[in-house]
Amino acid sequence: MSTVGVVITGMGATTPLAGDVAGTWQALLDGRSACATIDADWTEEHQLPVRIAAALAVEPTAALAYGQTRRMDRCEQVAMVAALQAWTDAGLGDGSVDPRRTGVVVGSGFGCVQSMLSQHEALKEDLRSVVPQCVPMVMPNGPAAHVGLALKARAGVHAPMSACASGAEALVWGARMIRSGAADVVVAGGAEACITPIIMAGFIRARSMSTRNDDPQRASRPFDVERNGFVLGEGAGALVLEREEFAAARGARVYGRLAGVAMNNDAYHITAPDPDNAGQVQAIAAALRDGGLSRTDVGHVNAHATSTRIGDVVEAGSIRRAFDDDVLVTAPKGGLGHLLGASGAVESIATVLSLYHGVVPPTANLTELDPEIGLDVAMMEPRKVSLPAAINESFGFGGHNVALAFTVA
Amino acid sequence: MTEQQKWSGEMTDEAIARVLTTIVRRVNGTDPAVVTPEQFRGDARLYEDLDVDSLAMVELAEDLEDRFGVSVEEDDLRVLRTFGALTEYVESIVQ
Repeated sequence: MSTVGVVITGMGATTPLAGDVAGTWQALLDGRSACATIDADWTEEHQLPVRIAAALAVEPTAALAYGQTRRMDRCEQVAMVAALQAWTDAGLGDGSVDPRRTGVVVGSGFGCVQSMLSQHEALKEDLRSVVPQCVPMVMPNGPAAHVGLALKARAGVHAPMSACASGAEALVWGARMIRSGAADVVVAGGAEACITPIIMAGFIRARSMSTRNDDPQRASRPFDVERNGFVLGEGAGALVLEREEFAAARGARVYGRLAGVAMNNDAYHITAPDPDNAGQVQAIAAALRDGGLSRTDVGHVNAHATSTRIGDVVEAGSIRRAFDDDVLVTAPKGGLGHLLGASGAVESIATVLSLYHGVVPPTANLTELDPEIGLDVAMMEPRKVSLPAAINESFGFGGHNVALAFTVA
Repeated sequence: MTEQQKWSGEMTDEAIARVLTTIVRRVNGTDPAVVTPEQFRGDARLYEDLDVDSLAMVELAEDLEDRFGVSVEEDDLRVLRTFGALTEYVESIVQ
C-alpha cells in the first residue's frame, strides 16, 4: 500500500450517449441506449451481418478548433476532447501546475485506424495525396502525444495498449507516476474511434458481435439471458489524477480516490478469458490489497461485461469468488456499447460518480437476468449504494486483466 | 502553357498575397472562413506567428506548385522567415 494518496479532481468524456460527463451520467441513470443502425452504406457494400454501432453523440469537430482537428485522426480528436474537458473541470487551465510535474497516459485499443485506412487509400491515388502529417496521424501514441502537447506534459507521456483494458491500464500507470514521485498531476484515460468496415469484419469473424440489427437499441444487454454479443462504440474518457497533498494545497474539488490498482495477465488464450478466472479474481484481490481495503469495504462493482455469452459468465464467476453476492453490480455497456480501449476510462468515471452520488445506474436493456450470472445486478432503475469503495474491472484481448479500487473522497 | 499558368502570370502582387494568405491558412490549420488579415503582415514570422511547421511547409510548397504552376524547391522555402519574404519569393518565381 502506497503512502501517497491519489485523488480524482477532474473528469471529461465524449461518448455515444453524450458529448460530456454530465450528459453521459444522466443517460446511464436513465438506462438509455446509444446503439443504432450505422448511418453509412459500407455495411451494405460489404454485406456485413452486423449493421449496428454506438457512434458518438457529438462530433469531436464541434468541440475542437478547426486547426486542432484538420491533421488529427478521429481517435486523437476524441482523446483531446475528453482530456481538455477533464483539465478544465479540474480547474487546471490557470497554469497552477508545473509542466515538469504534469504527465499524460492515454491508451487505445486500435489507435488511429481510420487515418491509416484513409491514407492508404490516398497512396493508391499517388504519393503526393498522402499528407505530410500522415505519421503523427497514424501512430498509436498519437492520442497521448497530442494531449501531452496541448497540456505541456513534460513529466512523461505514455500510451499503453492492452486492447479493451487500455483505458483502465492508463489509470494504473497514471497512479504509479504519482506514487513514484514522477508527477503531481496526470491526465489518464482512453480513446477509441474505429467504427470501420475492417474492424467490424474482424469482430464479426470472431463471432463477438451482436447481430440484433432489427432492434439496435436493445442489442447490447450485458448479463441478460438474451444477450448475443457486443455492440461496437467509439469515444473517450479522461480523469485528472492528482497527488493528494498537491490537490489539497490548491483547494481542488475531489470526486474520489483511486486507492488501489492492479493488473495481470491470464496467459491462457489470445482472446478467450481463462474459464478458471483466477487472473480476474487475483486482480481484484491485488487492487484491494494495494488500496489497504478489505472485501467488506466494497459495495459496488462496475463490470466489464460486454454482453457476450461466455465473457459475462466468466466475469460474473470472478465477482462471486471475490465478493460472494454481497456487491451491487452494473454494466454500462448496455447503454454505451463497447468503447474498447476507452471503456475502462469512461466506466471508471461512472464508478467514481456512483460513489460520489451514492447511486448505481441500471444496466440498460437487462430485463431478464441470466440465471448463470448469480449476482445482484442493478436493472430497470438506479439503486442507492452506501459503502465506501467500488471496483471497476476491465479485460482485454491478449489476456489483460485490470482492477481499479476507488473510494469516496 | 496551361490556362492556370497564364492566369497566374498576370496576377498582381496584391492578388498573390491574397492567394498566399489562403494557402498559409490551409496548411497551418487556421479556419479559412475566419478572416483576420492583420495576422498576415509582411513581418509576421512563418514559424512563430503563423504556425507553419516543417510538415506544413511541405504542404505549402505543393500548394504553391498546384496554384501557380511553378516548380518550388522546398529548400528555398525553408530559409524564408516571414510572410513578406514568402510573398516576395513567390512574386519572383511567378513573374
